[in-house]
Amino acid sequence: MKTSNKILTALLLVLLATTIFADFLLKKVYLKINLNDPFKNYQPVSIQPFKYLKIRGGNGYAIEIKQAPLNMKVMTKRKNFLAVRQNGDTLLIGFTVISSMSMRDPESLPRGIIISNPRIAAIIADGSNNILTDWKADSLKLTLMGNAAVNINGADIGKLTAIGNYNTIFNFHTANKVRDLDLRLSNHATAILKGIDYTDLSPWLTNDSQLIFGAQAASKLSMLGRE
Amino acid sequence: MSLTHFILLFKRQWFENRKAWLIGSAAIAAILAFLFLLAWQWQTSFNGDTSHGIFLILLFCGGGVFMSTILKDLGNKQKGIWFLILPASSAAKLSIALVYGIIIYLAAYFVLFYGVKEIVVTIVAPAGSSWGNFDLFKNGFYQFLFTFVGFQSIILLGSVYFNKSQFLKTLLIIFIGLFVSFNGNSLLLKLITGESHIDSNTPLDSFQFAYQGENMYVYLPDAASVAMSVLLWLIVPVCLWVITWYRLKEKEL
Repeated sequence: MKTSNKILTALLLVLLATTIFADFLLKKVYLKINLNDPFKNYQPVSIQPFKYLKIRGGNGYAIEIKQAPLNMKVMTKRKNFLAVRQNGDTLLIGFTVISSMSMRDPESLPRGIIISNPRIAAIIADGSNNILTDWKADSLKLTLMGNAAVNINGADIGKLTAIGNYNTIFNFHTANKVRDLDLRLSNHATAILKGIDYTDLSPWLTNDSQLIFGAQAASKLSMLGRE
Repeated sequence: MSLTHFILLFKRQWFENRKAWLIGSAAIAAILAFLFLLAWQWQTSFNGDTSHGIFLILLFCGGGVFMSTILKDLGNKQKGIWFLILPASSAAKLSIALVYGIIIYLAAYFVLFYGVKEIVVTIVAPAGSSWGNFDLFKNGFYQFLFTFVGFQSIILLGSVYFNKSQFLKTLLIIFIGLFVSFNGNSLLLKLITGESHIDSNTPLDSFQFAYQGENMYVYLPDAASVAMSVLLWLIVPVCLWVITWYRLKEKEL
């Protein structure tokens, strides 16, 4: 047998043996999965306490931000797309999983990342689809850039400063309560005030940005006008 | 391996093939422009980032064809003898093939891809549009380089192993190899894990199974994953080069 054939055969045998070995390692991981865990498809990401959150993302998956003890999980399938960096009290997240350009509703997407923190002062999201759930705070500054979108549900916030830049969407979806809503929209940004109860509204819109009112928010507007 | 022989072989390869390579480059540029225009025209119909797909299609197709032609003389009896008796070592001949087929092709392809993309974007996309943005190093996409090196190494080995229709035979071997390894590993995983709902797998990396309508993913632990990457991306290509070198030496004898 020629030397080249011998080495080729040896290489194929090594690959076969390694494949079998890897399959046994996969079995170990498989047996550790708790199929009753609702987050069985996620794995934890180690992070330090933070006050400011900066996300640079794609529109393929949603990023859910919850008010709960410090924790972060990433969908196991997409862990290779995640880059996390901590700069003092700022948590920087890169998660640029891109899908069809038309995906603008975060609720229709699987959660790629779930972050929870007891308190956040400001969130900057660039290009990502985000979901803000049950957020209660005296104040919050929320900035969206570059096609980012956020669905806000169950929020109870004293002063919310929402700044929307290029083609971004704020969707106040369900059961939100905001005392002082400061909306600054520019360059085709949109805010949908559907499920929101507000006391003061300060809108500032430029360059084809738009503000859409649901029935509840619109009735509030006419009440404010009478006052 | 003498440096003088290497440089002489390098020049010989260039002067003998430059016309064909320039025509090939023009063809690649034309196909790239056509694909970019298609992607622009139907940008709302394509799901996801088309630039990466276009990049990979021609990288592998063009690269494979190019690599298979570098030692093509071996397929011709007369030219093959002429090539084998060239006063240069097998190592020098192999190095020339690797330098042209991997380094020079990659460099030329990057220039063509980015050049054509910039021209198409300048002509069709409005100012400020993000269409056509292409970051090679985002989300670990650079890993394609290792896959490309492995692919080119197999194509090179095939061009030395087979006497006729080397490229087609090598492609056939690659497809059969992938089919057997993916399906065989799926059966093996079902046997080892006892999980009967395995939908897909990537040998030496992961598998996916369905549980109550939900797709579950099982990946190797990080340390094992790094070890497998070293095996596939470094050790296997080097082994393929050694086999090619031996094969060349055996042909010379």
